[in-house]
Amino acid sequence: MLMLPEIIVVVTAMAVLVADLFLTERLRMGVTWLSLAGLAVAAGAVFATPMNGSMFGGQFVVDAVGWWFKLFFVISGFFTVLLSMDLLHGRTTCRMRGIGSPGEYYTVLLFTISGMMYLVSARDMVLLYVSLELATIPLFALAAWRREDIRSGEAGLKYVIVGALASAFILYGLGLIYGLTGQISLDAARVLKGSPAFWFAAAMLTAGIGFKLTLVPFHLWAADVFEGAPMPITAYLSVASKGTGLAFMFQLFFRMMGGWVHDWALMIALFAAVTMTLGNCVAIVQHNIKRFMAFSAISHAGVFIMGFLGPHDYGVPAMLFYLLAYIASTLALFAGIVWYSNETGRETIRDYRGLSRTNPLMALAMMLALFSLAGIPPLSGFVGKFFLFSVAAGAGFHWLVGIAAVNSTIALYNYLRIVREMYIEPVHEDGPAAPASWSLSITTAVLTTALVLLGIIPFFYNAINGSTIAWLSAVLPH
Amino acid sequence: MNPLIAQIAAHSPGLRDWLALTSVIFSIGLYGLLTRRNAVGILMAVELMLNSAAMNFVIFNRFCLPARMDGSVMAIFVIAVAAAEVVVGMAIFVALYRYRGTVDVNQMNTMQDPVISIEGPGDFNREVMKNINKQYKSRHDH
Repeated sequence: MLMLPEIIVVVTAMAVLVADLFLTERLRMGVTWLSLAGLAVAAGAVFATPMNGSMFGGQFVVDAVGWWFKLFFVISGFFTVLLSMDLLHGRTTCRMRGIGSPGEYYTVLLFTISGMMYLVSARDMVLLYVSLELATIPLFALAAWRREDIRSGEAGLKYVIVGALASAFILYGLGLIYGLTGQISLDAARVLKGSPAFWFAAAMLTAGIGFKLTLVPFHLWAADVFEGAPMPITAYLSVASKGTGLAFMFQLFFRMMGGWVHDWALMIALFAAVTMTLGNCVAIVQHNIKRFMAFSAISHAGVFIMGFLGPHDYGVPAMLFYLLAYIASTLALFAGIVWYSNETGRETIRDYRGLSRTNPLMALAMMLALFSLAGIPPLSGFVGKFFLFSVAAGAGFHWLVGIAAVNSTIALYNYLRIVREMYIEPVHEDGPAAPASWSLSITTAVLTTALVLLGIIPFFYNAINGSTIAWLSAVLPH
Repeated sequence: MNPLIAQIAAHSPGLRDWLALTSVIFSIGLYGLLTRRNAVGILMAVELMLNSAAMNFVIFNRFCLPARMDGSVMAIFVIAVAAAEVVVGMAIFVALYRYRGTVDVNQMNTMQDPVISIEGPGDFNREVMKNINKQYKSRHDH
């Protein structure tokens, strides 16, 4: 049964919503267990599904790339639930008003995950568009979840307007493609010839993807939405929303307009260069850690799209591997940030001073995650960046690799600012008193181990590479 | 009869006319989105853009492939999804209005790139609320 993982996630979402009605306040933790169990079973179901197959006359297809994307979405959803549970059930030292309703929160979160999973399997415009909206619309509500925080509502407002604008652009582009091919199927567009209408549609779609993936110059919403959203949602936005953007870009640029990937390599390279540079340079001046992570995510979007440059046999596996490394590193870092904000309610970079003395293990985990994001050798972030840079170099974009190398240095400076606060500055007089809760400890331990192992053991990259390359070389024109 | 009116009456709009109409509606929506200050007005402008894109599907279906229903089905889905989008948007705006008393997007400026170092969210919120109250008062004084 190919659709089993999606069905499990949707059924869990419904079950959580119903269970929330019947559970008393004392048993309210049940909804967390239910969502965790549902996502764990869904991850198992993804493993059990074959890497190729189709349903409904080819409208719903699982292939190797989609299979890995689904696994990443379920994993990031699982850890987001672990990050959220302390905050939602009020088990924090710093009481935050206005965040609550765990049942609805998990339902909405599970629906976005199911939308993302349908998105990578879609092979026609109806399913593609509906699942894209299913992945995006619940995120508007999640960003505005803290009703009594003025920044949260404002983040929701900005996200809703920009998200709706992006989907209008995408829809207009899809409509033109439909007019040119006369078919609703995504594969039909592969044979299109270049014409003004086609280029117009491609420009519309690129703008829409740019909004979703926070490419410069479509990135302006990201910093405010990241800052205003509740902390676990910021973590979720920076990994899962990035993954959705990549999956969507893959669907459109590889599946739908696959014959043209070579022609817009230069455009993608320019986007990558500008996005990386601006993201890193603006991150230098940030004080708020959420805004800092927003610009870090923007600069990583620039690194990700280097995977589209080709030669395509190994661009996509490199991108997928870096996505895995990025998910592990970012969520490990966010476990520390969520813990700090739960304990003290503060979220500026200065507040992390002296953390290595008050909580050495958490500081170590955060340092490893930061080094992995910056791309320090044995860690997974370095390996992922190395593969992506070699993809760009193999495609002949040596200037882009140069810019990316300079950017890695700027990024290293940015991330070392936090490490410096944690390890060199004197201890914060009002630091967090309590150690991390078990859920955050598990998240940190698992993800930190993962981000180290992913870099050292080549098994994971080999697995991704082996399963995707056979499929890609059969599909892509050479 | 006036020859112009006769000509218009005899001429039934074709693919080109309909596409021109949808692109004009899309542009009006984009203009509205960029110029409106009230968030509800912006949402209406976005709705125009989405509907013009949905119309594209129906038009192409009607003129290029009248035998199949794909485009019309897509348009129905777009309408449903756009409704969901508006519902979520309005819910957020209502929650925001209750707390801030305005949905004017020009005043949605509590989060900015740093100029001075900010101590913490508590102080930050107080500062920002003071500013908002000042703005609110100055609008209602005169």
